Amino acid sequence: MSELNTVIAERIGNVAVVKLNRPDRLNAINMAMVYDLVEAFRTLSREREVSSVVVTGVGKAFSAGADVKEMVEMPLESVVREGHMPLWEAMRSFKRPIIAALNGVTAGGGLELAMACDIIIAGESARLGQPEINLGIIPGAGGTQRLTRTVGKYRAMELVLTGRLISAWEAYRMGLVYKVVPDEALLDEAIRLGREVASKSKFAVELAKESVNKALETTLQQGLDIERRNFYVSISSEDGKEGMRAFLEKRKPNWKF
Amino acid sequence: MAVVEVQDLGPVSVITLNRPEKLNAMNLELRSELGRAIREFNANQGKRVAVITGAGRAFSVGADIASVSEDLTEDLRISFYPIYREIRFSPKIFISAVNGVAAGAGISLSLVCDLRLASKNAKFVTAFHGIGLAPDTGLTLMLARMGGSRFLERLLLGGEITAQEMAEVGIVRLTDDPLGEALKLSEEISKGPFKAYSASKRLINRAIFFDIEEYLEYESAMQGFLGKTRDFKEGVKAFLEKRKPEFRGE
Repeated sequence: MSELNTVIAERIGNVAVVKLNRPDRLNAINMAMVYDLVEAFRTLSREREVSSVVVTGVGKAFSAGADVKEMVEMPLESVVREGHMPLWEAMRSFKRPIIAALNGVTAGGGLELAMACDIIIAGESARLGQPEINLGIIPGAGGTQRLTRTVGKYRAMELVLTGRLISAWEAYRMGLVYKVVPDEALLDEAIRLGREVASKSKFAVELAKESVNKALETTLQQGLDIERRNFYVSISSEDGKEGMRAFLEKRKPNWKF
Repeated sequence: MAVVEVQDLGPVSVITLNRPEKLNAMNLELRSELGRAIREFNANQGKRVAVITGAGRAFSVGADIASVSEDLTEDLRISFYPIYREIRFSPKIFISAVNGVAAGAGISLSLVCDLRLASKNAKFVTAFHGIGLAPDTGLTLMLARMGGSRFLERLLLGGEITAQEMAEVGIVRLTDDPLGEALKLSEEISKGPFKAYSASKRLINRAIFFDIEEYLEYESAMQGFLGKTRDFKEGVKAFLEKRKPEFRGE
């Protein structure tokens, strides 16, 4: 991986860990971090052994959001033309699961980054919210859309209109976070989850991830059609055939893809 | 001799932890045998009541520290919890006959049963803190809910609870002969309106154990990180060297 300044990328077995590394700025996402993350995901997508990625923060925040200082100085035209879009595109086209491990404050663009991941796990000191409204602006990368589709209109509205940060346990009750763990165990638990996913067929995991994501982008009938087609692909794929055979022969499957 | 003995008494089974020389410490073998014995009991249509007891002078001193795992989270989730789940979520009735000391996960094994009988000299030792750990196998949830505030201090700092104290809040019944009493009780239960007993157990589960899975996930993650601390390593070392541990709080 080429030189990254604002992000640390590590490998723990089959699981990659990407750490946002601007702890003195609560891991605020600036343009340098956008490009470092894009580079990190591009590199990881080429590493075949990597079966899932954990994204977390160095220090006491996951990410406090976009770098406001940098944003106010950017001409509107360049925010519109580019902004953080390269990051969201890179994550959207990344085929393998991305796990967000929230180690502290996860606000604004930080929560949007978490919601661009596939699974969110939180340390219990994490606090989540969309505080943009307090700055006279609004969320710009999923804070009104992904959040609403996950927690429903009325809870999303409350979060977006008040800018209030909620606790990890409250986010858990809303279904935004799948599990809350002691802070000290957060990374281990995220990696454990990554390893569990790593034990499955990579090909099936990719199909499953794509299908679940389509649920948020389609009508039910379109989603069901996509799911059924991916299901046909999975049962005729080599791993699918091997997995079903292993099930019937009561043995462990050997995944190839 | 098997580390877990099962005695077949018609609708009743007596499951005995049988490592008396180790005070029935639960090593991997004992846990896997115990899990198997309970699964077989649960799968047997003719069975209604199981009595769990210990051979010799102890009920069980809990996890065997001599064979401690590298990954306590995994150890709890894969090896311990399935046993406790088999008991708690079984439609059948489990009685623990606590004949002596129960420590650590041994306390949880006695509490997770539906009815608990203890001899007057039995005691319950929350041994976790002595090796730098926090209570696991659901002990805090069970004991805090069953005993209210009375035992919170010992859940926090460790210590012993006498059978007398457990009896005062109704967690155990005191008897001179826990096993004999358990067998008598088993017979009554197996001749009674068993479906009603089984349904009542499910109602109790909905009332006070509805969130146990979420709790255990959290607890096992907690124990996992304590298992990596210096104090835990020192605690285990000191235990095996039979000396007082020197904790540093790190």
